Amino acid sequence: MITGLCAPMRRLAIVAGLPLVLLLSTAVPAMADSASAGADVTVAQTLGDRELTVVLRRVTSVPGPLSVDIITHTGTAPGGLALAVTPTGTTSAAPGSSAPGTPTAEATVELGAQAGSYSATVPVDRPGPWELAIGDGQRTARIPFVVTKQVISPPERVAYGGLVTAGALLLVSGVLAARARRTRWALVPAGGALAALAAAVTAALLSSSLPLPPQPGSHIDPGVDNVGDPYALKKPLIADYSRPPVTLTLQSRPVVAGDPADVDLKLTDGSTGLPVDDLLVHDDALIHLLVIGPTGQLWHLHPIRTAPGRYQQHLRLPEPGHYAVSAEMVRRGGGVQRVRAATGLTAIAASRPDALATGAAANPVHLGNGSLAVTTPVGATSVSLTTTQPVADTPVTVAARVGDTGDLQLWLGMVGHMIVAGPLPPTNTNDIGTAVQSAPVWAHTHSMGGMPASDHSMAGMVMTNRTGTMDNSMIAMNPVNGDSAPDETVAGYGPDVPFTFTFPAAGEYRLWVQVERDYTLLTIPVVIDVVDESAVQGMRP
Amino acid sequence: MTPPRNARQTRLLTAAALVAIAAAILGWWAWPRPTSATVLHTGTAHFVIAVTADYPRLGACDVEIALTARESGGARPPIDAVQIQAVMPLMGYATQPVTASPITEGNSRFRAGGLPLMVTGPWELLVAINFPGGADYVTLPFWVSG
Repeated sequence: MITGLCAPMRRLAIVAGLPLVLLLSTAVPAMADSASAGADVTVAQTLGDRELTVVLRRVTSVPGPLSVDIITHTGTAPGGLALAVTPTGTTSAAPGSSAPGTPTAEATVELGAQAGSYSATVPVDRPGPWELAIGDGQRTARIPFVVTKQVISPPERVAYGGLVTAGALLLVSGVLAARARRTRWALVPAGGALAALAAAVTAALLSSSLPLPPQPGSHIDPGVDNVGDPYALKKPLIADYSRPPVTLTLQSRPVVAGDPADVDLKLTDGSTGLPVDDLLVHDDALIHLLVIGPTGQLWHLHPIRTAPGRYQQHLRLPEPGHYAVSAEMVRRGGGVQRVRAATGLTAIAASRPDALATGAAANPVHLGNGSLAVTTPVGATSVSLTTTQPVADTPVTVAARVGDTGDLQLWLGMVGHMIVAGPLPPTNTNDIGTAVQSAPVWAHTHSMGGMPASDHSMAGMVMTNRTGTMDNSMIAMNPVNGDSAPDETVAGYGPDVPFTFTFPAAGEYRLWVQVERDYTLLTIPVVIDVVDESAVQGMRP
Repeated sequence: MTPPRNARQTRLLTAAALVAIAAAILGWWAWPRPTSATVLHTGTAHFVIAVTADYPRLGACDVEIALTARESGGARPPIDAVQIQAVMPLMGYATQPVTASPITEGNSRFRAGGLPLMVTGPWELLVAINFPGGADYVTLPFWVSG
């Protein structure tokens, strides 16, 4: 015991022990977590005739550069796009001449004829909500986004402050032990150092399990202040951030089959009727617009935001008839909602029959009724489809095998999408849009790729050659370390794309499987007959 | 002996005084303060805007809107009317729009009285600025405390 030593020895022991204690105190891992400092944001936009994927790279410092990548697809027209960024957030501090509401930086991106990624960089000078305008000369898409800031959380402050305080007090204690007439005075700062060290270790250990504050943007309206310090909580605290449903109204001039048309989407709050301008990017888009045509075609589009609560979809409906329309979106506060446009769209016959697009009708493959596998060409790609026995109220797995190698790209963050509509009544195959308009079930399910039963590879890792069917393919698992997932330019997924869906009722359903390969979106239309469990039991021996 | 007792008493008194001062500072720091006015700065393509909510707590709230025109470098903005509406998005509740009255001759400061803030939590102020040839709309989020 130190108290059992003579005075010089006690001093020596205290001074000699100091470096060791300091070393131990600095070796405590800083496990504190900050609020999310942002990640890449991917937004699909149908700008005119171009289907673009806009990737806003993470801003690592503010002020700092914002890198914007625009990914084009097969058939995207080359040309220039004008970019501009505008801060839109309110602040409690007078902003002076840099008040929000006007663009602070502009750039241009020249898209080439080759499908791929084209980049530009614009500076951003403050945290908070911003708007990126992308114009093609005729239309302008206004994408809202939030520039986040690296913030030190209160537990981190306690951990770092406690360690610094402990170190300083230990130094004081050492000096007192060496210089003071009575060495017991050294115990006072030493006790303080122990207390500070205990506080730091406790804060560091607890920080990883403490809940994050409400996130500006996804939970609460973002502003410069709350993005700059999300831990400055407003009182009283709330736990439920959900908002009312959205009412979707379509407005357009009469749509003529074969002619280009702009359809305006008016989003209003289901409670107040005011414009809804708090949509979050969900599955890499602000709105997923699904349009199903008279002969069973599917368009999966992403309208551009033109103003608060106003979106616009440019399309060319190939044939006269009725088109069913629904939209999927997420409001601030959470919760995906699918809104069917009550009216749908009706295209009138063109006065010029030559204006009609040719080959527009979907040519679906059939599954069910004893057929559990089928192969069909989609463009130059051979696609094999298999299904388990399609029984209502039982999980049914429909699997597509696209090509022979794992060269699919993530589209909207997923290896595959499957749109489901039905059960449809026996109908004229030239009026499927009307049948789908009132179909009991609309669904949109995803595939994250296939995973071998015993191979739990992490995201982004090339899977082992175990089965011979998963060679060099990846699965779309999001990284667990906060990194952004691979973007659309990574072609290493598939070729197996399984979906599992539970059909709630028997009948004939339309499915559309969508995957991306070689920057081309492949849509595979399927008709599947789903039977009741009783029918299956009747068939069993 | 008397001198040691005096010294001990002095030390005790000093320690007590230090504790009392520390307690007073802590109490002053932790004492709840009345909610001050909330000032929100924002802007549109035409105006730089400052909105001051006098008493952002439950009950009626008076709001002042200061506008500065961007184009004219701060000169008198040609404004027809300014309306303000309070919305509680989580509750699906919107107040009736209130037309703000100009309070300065320069037609750059307006005041709207009696916005009914019925619940605590996140609200939005919707400000509509009508001017010859158009209108600007801006939404300002703010928090109402109890």
